[in-house]
Amino acid sequence: MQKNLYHIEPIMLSQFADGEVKPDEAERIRQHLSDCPDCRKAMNDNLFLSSHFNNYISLNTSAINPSALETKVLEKIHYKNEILLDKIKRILFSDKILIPTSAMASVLVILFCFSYQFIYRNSDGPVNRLTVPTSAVSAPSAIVDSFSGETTTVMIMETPHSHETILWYNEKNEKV
Amino acid sequence: MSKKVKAKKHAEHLLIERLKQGDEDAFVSLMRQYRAALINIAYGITSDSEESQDIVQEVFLKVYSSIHSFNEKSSIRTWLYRITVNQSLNWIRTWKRRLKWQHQSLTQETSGDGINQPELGSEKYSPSDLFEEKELTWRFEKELKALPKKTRAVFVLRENQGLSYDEIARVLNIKRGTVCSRLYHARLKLKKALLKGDR
Amino acid sequence: MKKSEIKVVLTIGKTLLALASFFILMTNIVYASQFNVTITTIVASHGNKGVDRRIGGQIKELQASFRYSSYQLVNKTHKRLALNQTGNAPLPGGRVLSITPLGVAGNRAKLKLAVFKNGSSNFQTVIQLLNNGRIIVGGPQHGSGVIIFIISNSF
Repeated sequence: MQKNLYHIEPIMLSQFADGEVKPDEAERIRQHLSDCPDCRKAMNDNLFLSSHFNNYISLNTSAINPSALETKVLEKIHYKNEILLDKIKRILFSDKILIPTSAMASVLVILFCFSYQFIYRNSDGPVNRLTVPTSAVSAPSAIVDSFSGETTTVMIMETPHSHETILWYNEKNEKV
Repeated sequence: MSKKVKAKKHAEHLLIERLKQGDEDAFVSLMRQYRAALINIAYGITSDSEESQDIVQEVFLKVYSSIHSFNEKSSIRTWLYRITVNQSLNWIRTWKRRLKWQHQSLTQETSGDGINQPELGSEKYSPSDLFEEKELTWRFEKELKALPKKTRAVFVLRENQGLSYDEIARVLNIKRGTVCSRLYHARLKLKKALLKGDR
Repeated sequence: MKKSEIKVVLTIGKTLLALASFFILMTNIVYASQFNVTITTIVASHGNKGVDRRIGGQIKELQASFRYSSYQLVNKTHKRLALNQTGNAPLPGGRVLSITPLGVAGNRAKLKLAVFKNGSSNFQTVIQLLNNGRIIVGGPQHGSGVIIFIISNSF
């Protein structure tokens, strides 16, 4: 009976240890391992390495407190959120924003005044809407500052309903 | 797809939805589920527990801020592992961190082998056993640190997290064959370090 | 916010307010420099022609103020005048009414009116007319009736 004329390729053994070979190949390696002490040792060395590595990691990370880490992360998130809010506040209320915003507001007020005057003074519709009936106004519709000329009589009166000013005069050469 | 896998996927999808809505409880739940694994991966690559903590913190902060960009093409585990590996590989040590690390090394040196070592003269360990154990660990650590970090990443994902070659390939965005050869070389070197003694 | 910062903000605010007030004032001046003046010329008499329908709503006030039986519209002239710009409107009997806006006082336009007959001015007056207000000027004889001209303005 021929025994162990060959050894499993180390790379194949590595794949076998990781369960990354096809089932028929795995079966062949398994059979070989039962018969070949050298390959079995190589296989055990892989397992020993694996357990040693995992022990090494767990030993060195055992001092790390996961809860503390979790708290730190949450603290940082809260802090970042606060900073973000603070930044937004600072940006909104900084001179860089406040001054241009104020200027913009002033410009808008000016524009509003322009448009108000333009719309309400130069078009028929709004003027009519804004026109206050003179009757509702106690002041006369017109104040006569001065008059002069070749006149015989000058009278200043008011209409009975809307109290519009009437300026009545007679030319000098006219018969009154 | 089995019912169990379907249910797991659905639960994960719900968790992601909650995370995207900014649910802090969901985030805490995610941290509790993965923090240990991520610490192990980070330590497996950096061999520095303090750096590993910082890395994992950064990973979770990154996840919190970029969960909206997670498109669920891969599982959340793959995504988290990928971020952790990248963060560990790209970890830039500041001068402060270097000094801190050096300081800690010296402290460890002067205070013996640390709190995890059994007492001298106890039944389990004789002084010679302790010496051998210490030397073995020293050799192993030296060899591990000498490995390329990308190889260490493959090794830790396989040996510590039990990921398949395909999963490792997805996390690291490399070919399956590359995973296989990196694992083989890592084992070869580390086994040499472990077996230099009598074992 | 520090005290110095508050001071700076207040100063800036005051300056902006002053600027805004200045601009509003300027807009008033700019826009007030445009006066829309309408002159409606009517000849009123004791004839039997009745009321000219074209006179419109103004007739009620006229009828309430005067006892003429006939009101005939002669013409209606619209003028858009700038400050100190004189606009003329023809009146019956070879007369001409010239109107010159002199400025704005509160809500009133200061208008200078002059009636010319045969090339010389025989009546001048300066009035302050409410914005959107009217003044009825009348008296000069024309044929068997009198001339009435209603001046309205808006600015």
